[in-house]
Amino acid sequence: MTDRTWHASTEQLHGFANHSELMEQTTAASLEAHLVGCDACRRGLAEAADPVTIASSWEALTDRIDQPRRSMVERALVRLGARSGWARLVAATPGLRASGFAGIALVAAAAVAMARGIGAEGPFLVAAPLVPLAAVAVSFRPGADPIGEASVATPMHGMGLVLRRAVAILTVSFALLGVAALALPDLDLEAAAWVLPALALSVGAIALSTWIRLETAVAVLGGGWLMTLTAIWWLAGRDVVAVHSQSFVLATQLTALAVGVVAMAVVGARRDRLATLEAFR
Amino acid sequence: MTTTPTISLVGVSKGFGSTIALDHVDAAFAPGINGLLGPNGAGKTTMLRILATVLPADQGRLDVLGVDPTTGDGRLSVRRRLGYLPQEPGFHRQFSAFDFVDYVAILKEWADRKTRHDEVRRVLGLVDLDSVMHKRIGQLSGGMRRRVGIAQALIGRPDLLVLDEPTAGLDPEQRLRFRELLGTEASGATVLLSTHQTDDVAALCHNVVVLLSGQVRYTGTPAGLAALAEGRVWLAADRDLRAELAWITGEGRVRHIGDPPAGAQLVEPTVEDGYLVLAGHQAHAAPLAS
Amino acid sequence: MPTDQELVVAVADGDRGALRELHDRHVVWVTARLRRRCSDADAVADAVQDTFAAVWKGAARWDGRGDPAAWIWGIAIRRLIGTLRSRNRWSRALAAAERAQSEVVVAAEDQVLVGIEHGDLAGALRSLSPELRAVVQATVLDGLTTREAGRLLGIPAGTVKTRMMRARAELRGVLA
Repeated sequence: MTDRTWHASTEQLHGFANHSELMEQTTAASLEAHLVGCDACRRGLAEAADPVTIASSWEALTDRIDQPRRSMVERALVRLGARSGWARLVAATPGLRASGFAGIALVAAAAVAMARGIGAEGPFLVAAPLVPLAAVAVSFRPGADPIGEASVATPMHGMGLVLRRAVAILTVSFALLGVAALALPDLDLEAAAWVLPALALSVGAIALSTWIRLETAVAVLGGGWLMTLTAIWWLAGRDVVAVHSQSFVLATQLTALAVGVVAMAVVGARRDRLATLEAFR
Repeated sequence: MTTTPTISLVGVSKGFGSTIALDHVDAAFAPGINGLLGPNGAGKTTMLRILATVLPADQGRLDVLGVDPTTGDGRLSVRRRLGYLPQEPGFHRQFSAFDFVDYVAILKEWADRKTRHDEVRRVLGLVDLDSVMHKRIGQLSGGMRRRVGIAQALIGRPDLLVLDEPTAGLDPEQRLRFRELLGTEASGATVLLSTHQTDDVAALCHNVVVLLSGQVRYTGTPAGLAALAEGRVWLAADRDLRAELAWITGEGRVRHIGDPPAGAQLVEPTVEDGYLVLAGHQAHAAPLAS
Repeated sequence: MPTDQELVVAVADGDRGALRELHDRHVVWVTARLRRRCSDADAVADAVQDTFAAVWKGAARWDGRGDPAAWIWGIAIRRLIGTLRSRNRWSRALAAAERAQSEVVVAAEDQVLVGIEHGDLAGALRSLSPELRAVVQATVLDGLTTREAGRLLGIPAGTVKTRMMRARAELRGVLA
């Protein structure tokens, strides 16, 4: 029915481009039907229109399509009040990806399961402090930033970013561990005995990384923790129950507190070393 | 140097374990395009990293854009006026080119989203990546990825541009575009670029530093570097077996540097010839012109 | 020069330049056609933006058959309906068109165009009352369902059905 050799005239195209609503009904309807199938007339129509309107329509469109996709973590941070720039930077921390959450949750659940299995908190108290330490290792090793080296030469790189990222992953680790701890067999004060050692180990690793490689620092601290516990067990006459005695628990907590405070002071004093590549080598 | 240098290094040294990467280096760079020439392992990347505040030097005095970059405040001040392209930019697989440049712009303190996105579009347009800016970096070719790296260095029209091998992987047409781009975008800025390509140096740089084994072996104009080979470059029909430096050119004749082989014709030296006089066999260890 | 089909495939691959070309080719006729159905210029502008944003996100879902222009129109008209729903303002394109109708004279050239595109139907359509014509345009020419046509015209779906029946009866009479 449609004769493809027919094309719209310049006046018709001009009329349709600039005030289509004023065109006579059926003429306009026919022209519309023709345009769906004729690219030559569509071209003519675009030429008959004001180029400024086409350009500004495109500009408005780019504002929409150029929005980077926001991850769930990023949106959560924005809702918590972070500015969109910081939210993006912190959300890019490796430990804050879904795999990170899953890993932490898995280890916490396994530790709790073991604790319930033997009816004592021991396994959880041993394993929990290692979790934030591992999160620090994953999030701050060289090449962990999605951008790599190009990010080091920027004004925002340095202690401000390290701190915000550390706060984010430590908050997440501690929150998940705290939730898991609720399922421990005995909910007494001792069930929280993992908190200070966890802080000491994770902040300690960041502090040590201003001298040695992060991986080494993590290994030293993780190994040190396990060796300390073994030493305590030995000193208690290899009696697991005695390990839970007041004196040992108090000693461990106070030491952890001291280490944590010292580590924070070191990070503050040596923050310049966080600002270059070598810090996390 | 006719203009006042914006960057100076005095006695700068840097070592990694038992390796000495930079050995008491003295150098000065002024606004304009400065080239850093040398084989792999000569210390170019180390020098650029130190000037880009990414690595600290072990010894020596540094002045970058009027400040001392070894202090915290100095570093911050330099980073606010710096654009840096590392030899290996770390590209996150899931990022698009736009995401990557946008992320760097955030790190460069562009907090307002609208102005930041306008700037991201601008720099990606400068390197002709408008069409593909939303494709994942993993989908882009090596040359395109290099251009993404160049784009992020251009954010904010920095006063100091430190570019490590910016033309690696670019085809001749893209290298030409890059030269034009530097001409317009970086006028007035101090540009430091490292390269293997002597023709980039000849076309672009008003000043070139040759680094060999962590030491500066030449500072001056590209013409001066070429002049080092004056009277020592010959073209012959066949290769002289005793010659140390000789290779077949595109026209089929053999170019020699050093003593004249029998029946050879003396020719004008190029920048490459001058560089080879200095670097000798060391230069042959690296791809000189790829 | 790439065809529209090639452009859509490129857009599905994330080519922003292809989206721009597609946008520049189609934005004018889509906007003009939507404006004949809705007198609210802001709603039309929103719908056009939504349309091309949807093309950007959903190009991979184009089935590859037929003209991309028809696919784009299908997205556009439905986005317009969506925009009108969320703005909760029912717009009757007909009202605006009718106000202007009295000043418009059908040129001879236009009559040729009408005859070619719709054959005998054109003259018959002109003989219908404005409400019946609007319903025929929405369902037959725009390809909307009775419910969508009802939303566009601001009338219940049942009314759309009855008007379509009356229109068909009248057209049968005229064409016979």
